[in-house]
Amino acid sequence: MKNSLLLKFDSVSKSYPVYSSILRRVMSRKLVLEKITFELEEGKVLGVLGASGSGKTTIAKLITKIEEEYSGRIILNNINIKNMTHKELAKNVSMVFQNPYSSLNPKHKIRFVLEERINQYAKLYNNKIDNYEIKEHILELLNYMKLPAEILSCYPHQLSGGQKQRIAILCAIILKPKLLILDEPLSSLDISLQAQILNYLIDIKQKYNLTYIFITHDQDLAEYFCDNIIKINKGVICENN
Amino acid sequence: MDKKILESKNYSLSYKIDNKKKYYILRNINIEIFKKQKVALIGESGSGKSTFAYSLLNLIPRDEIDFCGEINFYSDKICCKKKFLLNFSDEDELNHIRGNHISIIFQDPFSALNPVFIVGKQVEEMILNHNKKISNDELHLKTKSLLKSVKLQDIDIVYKKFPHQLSGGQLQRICIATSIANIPELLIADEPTTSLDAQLRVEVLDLINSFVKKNYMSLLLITHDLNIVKDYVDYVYILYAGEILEHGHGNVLSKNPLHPYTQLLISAYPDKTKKGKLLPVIEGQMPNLTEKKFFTRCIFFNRCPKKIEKCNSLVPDFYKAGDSFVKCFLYEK
Ligand SMILES: Nc1ncnc2c1ncn2[C@@H]1O[C@H](COP(=O)(O)OP(=O)(O)OP(=O)(O)O)[C@@H](O)[C@H]1O
Ligand SMILES: Nc1ncnc2c1ncn2[C@@H]1O[C@H](COP(=O)(O)OP(=O)(O)O)[C@@H](O)[C@H]1O
Ligand code: SF4
Ligand SMILES: [Mg+2]
Ligand SMILES: [Mg+2]
Repeated sequence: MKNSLLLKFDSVSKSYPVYSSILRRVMSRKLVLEKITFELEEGKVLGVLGASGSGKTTIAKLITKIEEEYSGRIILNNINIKNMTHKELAKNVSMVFQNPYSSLNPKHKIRFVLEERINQYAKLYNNKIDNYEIKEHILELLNYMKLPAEILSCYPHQLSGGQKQRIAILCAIILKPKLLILDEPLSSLDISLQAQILNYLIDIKQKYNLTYIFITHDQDLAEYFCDNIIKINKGVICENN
Repeated sequence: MDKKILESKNYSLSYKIDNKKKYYILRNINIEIFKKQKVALIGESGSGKSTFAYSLLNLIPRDEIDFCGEINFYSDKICCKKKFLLNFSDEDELNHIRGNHISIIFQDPFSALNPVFIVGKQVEEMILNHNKKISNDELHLKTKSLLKSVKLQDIDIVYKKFPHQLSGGQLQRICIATSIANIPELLIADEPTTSLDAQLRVEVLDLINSFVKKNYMSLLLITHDLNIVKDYVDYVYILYAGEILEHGHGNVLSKNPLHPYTQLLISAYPDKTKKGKLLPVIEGQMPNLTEKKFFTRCIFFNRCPKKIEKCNSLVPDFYKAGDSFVKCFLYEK
């Protein structure tokens, strides 16, 4: 049985303006993605492999509409994301960033971070959600990720790297997205922690029926984790398998 | 065989937590580094790697620690041949050794630099520290060629920037430039690449490696990632919870790990042969190092999948197995 198509990039190109610091105006444009085309089926893991500066993170920025200026089409669930509001998009797509240390605000307790997330969730669905249900969901997720409930009253600096990264993943999946984008989610963690987080990711993917885009520079890791891999070199897909 | 440049002999260190409690973070560390040799110290977060590096340079305030054993530094260049840095009380002489004979690249390049001075001046400062007689023109030229040698671009612009105006990769290059400015005999790099973007890591390691080679320096590379350094170093020590558990040649050790801990560590690396399977995880946690009772048995006992009866009541010695040395009863002859 063929799974349904979740995401499609159709000849997407993106350039950034290059400013002159002396003249303070746009001098030229730098092409970072050129005619990128790929498809991603529901429930699969797409690996995006490439060197630093090859344009990997830019792909994530386009899907999440952090960058909205580009040519070509990005289709999510049969809808061009240009025609989707940020709100609608947020119901479908969530992201985990490169550095677990910078993605959590050091001034807030974990409980607060998660409650913020719930409020966000409530707003997305015009408050027509059951708060109780969400709190249960958080407890379930904590339990599932083997994080003790006491962690809720800790500040980020009191957690280990692996705990922080699990909280970041938890934040990303509270909103029950269809698509989760992971941008080098492991590269600052100890090897044994990396293995733990990878195992969690495999597990929650099945449990919550997620689709992943996994951005990495590590070929071995991509081959282990992904169903399909696209290799990006200087903004162009140079290998697709 | 080249001469020894550094050796730690039964070196132990504890942090004083309060009047009653101590945190026994390093225990009986024996490490040797020879001239021109590149040695890696591998350990996970909290294993004591940075503590070892900092104490080696006497960078930890004396009233926070207790230590015993020795760390000796043998230099060709200083008249006194054997230097136990931890016994130095003369700050000036210590400062001269740091930077000129042994220097260190820190984990976080941002905190290693002074935020209120432009980076170019900080590199010049380091050169002046070694050679006070250098003329202004020479100083400027030398600084520029250093910045060029760490492959920084737009040197004239970078020179005048404050640390917060530069990227992590640029900052780490500046730090490398300051630490090699005076061509030390021993360079210590403490997780020089963890704060960097993944791809930059390889570039920075290449850079450090080429400097060490070109100037016949010795290198102590500290990291949690055995995979990324195995091709750069000659010899590897595996540190766990403050103890060395295995040491041997880098390639041998990564291909054929012997200690149960090293084996687990290496099997946790993902690759395509493991596709579809969960990766092995080291269950449990590092023992609480404030409690001495854990030091009367193998330190890996509570997490070891291969433990045998005697592991619970005796501490293993190092046993030779192949070309490696392993602190585990399984290799007892
Ligand atoms: N000044 C101090 N007082 C008390 N405990 C300390 C002090 N400095 C470090 N520690 C503790 O010593 C242990 C080892 O710290 P260290 O910084 O050496 O670890 P590391 O191996 O370098 O880890 P990482 O990879 O996370 O940098 C940690 O548990 C830490 O909390
Ligand atoms: N906001 C931006 N303005 C200008 N150039 C940018 C911007 N973001 C990224 N770039 C450039 O685009 C290229 C690709 O960046 P990125 O997608 O972050 O790469 P990767 O994630 O593969 O390291 C790089 O050369 C980077 O310098
Ligand atoms: S000595 Fe025993 S407990 Fe320790 S690593 Fe070897 S087998 Fe495991
Ligand atoms: Mg990136
Ligand atoms: Mg450290």
